[in-house]
Amino acid sequence: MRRFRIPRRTLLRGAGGIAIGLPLLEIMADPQRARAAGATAPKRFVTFFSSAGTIHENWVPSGSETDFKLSRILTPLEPHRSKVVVVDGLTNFLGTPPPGDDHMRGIGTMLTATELLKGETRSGAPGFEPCGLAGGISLDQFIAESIGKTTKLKSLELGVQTGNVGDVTSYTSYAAANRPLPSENDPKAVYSRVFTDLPAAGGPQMADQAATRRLAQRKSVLDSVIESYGALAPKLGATDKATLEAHQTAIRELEMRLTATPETSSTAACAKPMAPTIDAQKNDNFPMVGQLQMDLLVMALACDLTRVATLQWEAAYSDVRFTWLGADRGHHTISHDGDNNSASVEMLTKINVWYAEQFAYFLQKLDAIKEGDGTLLDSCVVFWGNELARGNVHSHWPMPFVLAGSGGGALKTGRFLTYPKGDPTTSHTNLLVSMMNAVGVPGQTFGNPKYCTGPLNGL
Amino acid sequence: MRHYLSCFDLGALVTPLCFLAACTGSVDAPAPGQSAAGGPTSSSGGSAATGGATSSAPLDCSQVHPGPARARRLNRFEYDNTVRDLLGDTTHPARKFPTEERSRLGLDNDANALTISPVLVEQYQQAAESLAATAVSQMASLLPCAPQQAGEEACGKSFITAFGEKAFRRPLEADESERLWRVLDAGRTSESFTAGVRMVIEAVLQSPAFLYRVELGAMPAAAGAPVRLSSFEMASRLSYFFWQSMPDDALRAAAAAGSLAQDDAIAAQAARLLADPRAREMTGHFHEAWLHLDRYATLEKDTQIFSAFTPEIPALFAEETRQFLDHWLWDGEGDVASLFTAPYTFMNQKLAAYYGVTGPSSDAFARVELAPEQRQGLLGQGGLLAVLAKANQTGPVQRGKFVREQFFCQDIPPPPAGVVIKAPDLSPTLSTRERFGQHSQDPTCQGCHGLMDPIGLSLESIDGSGRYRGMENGKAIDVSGEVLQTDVPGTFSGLPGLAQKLASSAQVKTCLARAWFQYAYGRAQTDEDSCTLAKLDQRFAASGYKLKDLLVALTETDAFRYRSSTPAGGMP
Repeated sequence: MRRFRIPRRTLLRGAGGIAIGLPLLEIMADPQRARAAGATAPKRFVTFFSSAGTIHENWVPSGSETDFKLSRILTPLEPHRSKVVVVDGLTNFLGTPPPGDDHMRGIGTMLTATELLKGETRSGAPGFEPCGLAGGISLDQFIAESIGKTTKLKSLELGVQTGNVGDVTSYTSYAAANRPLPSENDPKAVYSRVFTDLPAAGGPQMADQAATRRLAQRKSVLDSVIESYGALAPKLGATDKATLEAHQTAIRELEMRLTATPETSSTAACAKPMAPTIDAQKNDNFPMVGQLQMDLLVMALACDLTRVATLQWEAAYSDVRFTWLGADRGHHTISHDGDNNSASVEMLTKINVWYAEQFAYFLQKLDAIKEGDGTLLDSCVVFWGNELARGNVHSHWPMPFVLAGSGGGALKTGRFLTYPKGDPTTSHTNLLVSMMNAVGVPGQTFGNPKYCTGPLNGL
Repeated sequence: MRHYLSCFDLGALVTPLCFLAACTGSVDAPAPGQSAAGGPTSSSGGSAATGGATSSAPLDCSQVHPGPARARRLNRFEYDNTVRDLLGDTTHPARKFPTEERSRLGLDNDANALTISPVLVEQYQQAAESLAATAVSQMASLLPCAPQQAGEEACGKSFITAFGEKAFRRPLEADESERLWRVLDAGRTSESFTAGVRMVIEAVLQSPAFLYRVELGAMPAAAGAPVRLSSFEMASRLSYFFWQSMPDDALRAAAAAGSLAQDDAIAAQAARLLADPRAREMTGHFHEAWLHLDRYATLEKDTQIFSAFTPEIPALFAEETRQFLDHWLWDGEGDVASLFTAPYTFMNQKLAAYYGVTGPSSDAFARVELAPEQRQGLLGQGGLLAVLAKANQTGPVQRGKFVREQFFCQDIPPPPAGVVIKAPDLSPTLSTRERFGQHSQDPTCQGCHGLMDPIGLSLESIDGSGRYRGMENGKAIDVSGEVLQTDVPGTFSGLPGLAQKLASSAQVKTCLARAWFQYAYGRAQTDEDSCTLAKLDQRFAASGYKLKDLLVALTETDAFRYRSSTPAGGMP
């Protein structure tokens, strides 16, 4: 495989001292120039989360690894089949050990691969030990530590009606144990966070003298603030000290980002989107909010404002009513119905078909953006995960996972992989390791090594 | 899920909640010697909804037991109030910040739940820049001196001392003044004195001493001994409890004089703060969180069924409940019983027309006497019962569950896995009670639904859109009800009967006092708080369960006046 690296001459240094690939986007927009410069697209990692499990018999493709027929639920992915990998049969072994219940463990361990902390969040069903939040850093954040350092945003956490009720059921992404990164559920807020300082097409390119001065002032202020956290934290008890240190770290990262001169220029691929306005919490706006979030995310990736993102649809226990599909009850509620309730099985199938349509929409948008010899999708690893395998039995096998994009050629796509039940090498944690490797982060294990034997065989 | 208990969690602890939690049909018998009636139940590791008896040895209440206290980050409401009082800013910048995690009773100021995220840090930074830019547009009112006369360095330093002391709620340490002067100097050198002042404000508004309430002032007499709070710390505890904002000039002066070390000075300040309109805003915010009034705003109804329900109704409902609670607590009876039995509410012309009652003739809200056989007190609030309902029908289970959880501080678990959860289909002939009949026949459901449905079904006279109805499907409504497993067991009739039960229950009073404990101290109660809780309950009872007296009593406890010198997570 060809080693991709941006040559030194395409790097500039921002005021904060971090390197920014100024003309990267422009170079990448032109395949010939990209080849001449030996430049290639950066790797990206995106997690797409949907909740409450699936209906496996309607989800699993049939056929062999390379000659397979997509299932009813996955049919919307047909246009992208050469760029996806359907992974059937993995187990989230962390779905079982206490504390927490099956939903809580499912969502809290999906990306952290670490047991939940003990705490005060109680399950309805008897016999479950109350839990706190997740017990470790999530894969997306671990990856962002490596590949998120040079972009405006280290990572982007987007949500669609995730509720953010404040316990483990709300979050997929964690900066560290007990430090969840809540999803931004309002596209308008996402827009203002990500795009407001992006120049519109043809707008002013370079900071003038006043802006340069403002950056220096900002740096003075933040340096002083960082010092004040450093001075206070050691005087506090361990719990408060950890909070203040986390706060200080976040300011440091903010400083790096803010004091980097915004250099992103508009190209054919990267165009400043329109500011959206929508009531993000209204149940029936769910599809439109989701689409807006996907549009914003695609553009944030295309403009290289971030390389790591999560898009979390609903939360564990979510009761969004899929009224546009004819559902009269909430998603989680329906997911509890027995297999003999054919109307509910049909509705859950429809909900998962709908999610596959959203996933396909997202892939299509990524694939429409050319970068060098490939597309934006090619540079990504997109992971579609779920907290459960099946809702009514709360199982963590067989997890319905789908990958898309090859991580710049690191993954062989267009495949349907099946794994035998229960074998330690079929732990979902192994998949996490493989995805991490695919986007260029080395390692043989992730999370609690007890549940990991290395990269996933055959991927 | 966060609102439930299960038998397993409580293990061997003696509690009727075990019985309550048995939802799978195999109803556990109460432990020997235990009555099925409620009462304070055990708190396991600071669980929010329970409290009282402990599994460890009883504490000696002649000693001081402050309980744990953490550095508390300002929540959104406190941030907005604080920048209003510090800078005169009324733009509510924190409304854009991420929502706080809620405690089990819905409260938004639990120190353990106030975590920090990069998005929040970014928003603090943006808010600081914007607030500082606005502030320096009025330099004359900001500065204690004129830089042209006093000299920029002298004036800058005196600004830092004065502004810093207000913002940090205590005098600055030498290193803090020094750091802020370097910031001002950098701004002055690169641009102007005004830029330097602006940058100092930006730095202060992002500092831990501003964003967190940290208590480190006084030293313990002996290692591990409880510490009496310093005067400045007490000033902040008082102002952030009664006003959810920074201390005012009078509190700061009292703190500077060191007078807040004395109990009578604290009591005098508590009385003064309680009499200020800002205390009303604080109780309003408590009610907002405790009763989940934010849900009013997103209320949607099926207008095929509830044709009178228009998009403007939710806001009117919210105003009604706000005015009712504010009046009850501050201008009315103010005791727990009246919360449930008050024979009045507040409406304007539009809302009265919606309810179909005689009311004011303008858009202004005014007191309206209720027909007490139809509506009374908090349960008579149309908005509350409309929120606790489906879009197309009432919600007896939601209503019963809410009463159990918020008023009795009891926990009801969700149905077991595999059970079909579906409100029975609407019927042109059957009553809601008949449609929900399965719950009382099926032993799988009966365990829990027997606790919720008989409460919820007694409220059937208020329909899913919050309006009174005498009939359902042309038939008179059976509003008989029963509350099992409480300290007021037995049958009753309709909303007035339930209001009576709630009004006469000691458990309900204890429950409300627990919610206030959590709100006042920003944390759940622990085993260490038994003396504080006993004192609160006793003071509350002696006052005839008047809320205003409870608020004062909350400032007289060990939990309020002391801190532990062994912080959470251990010493650094």
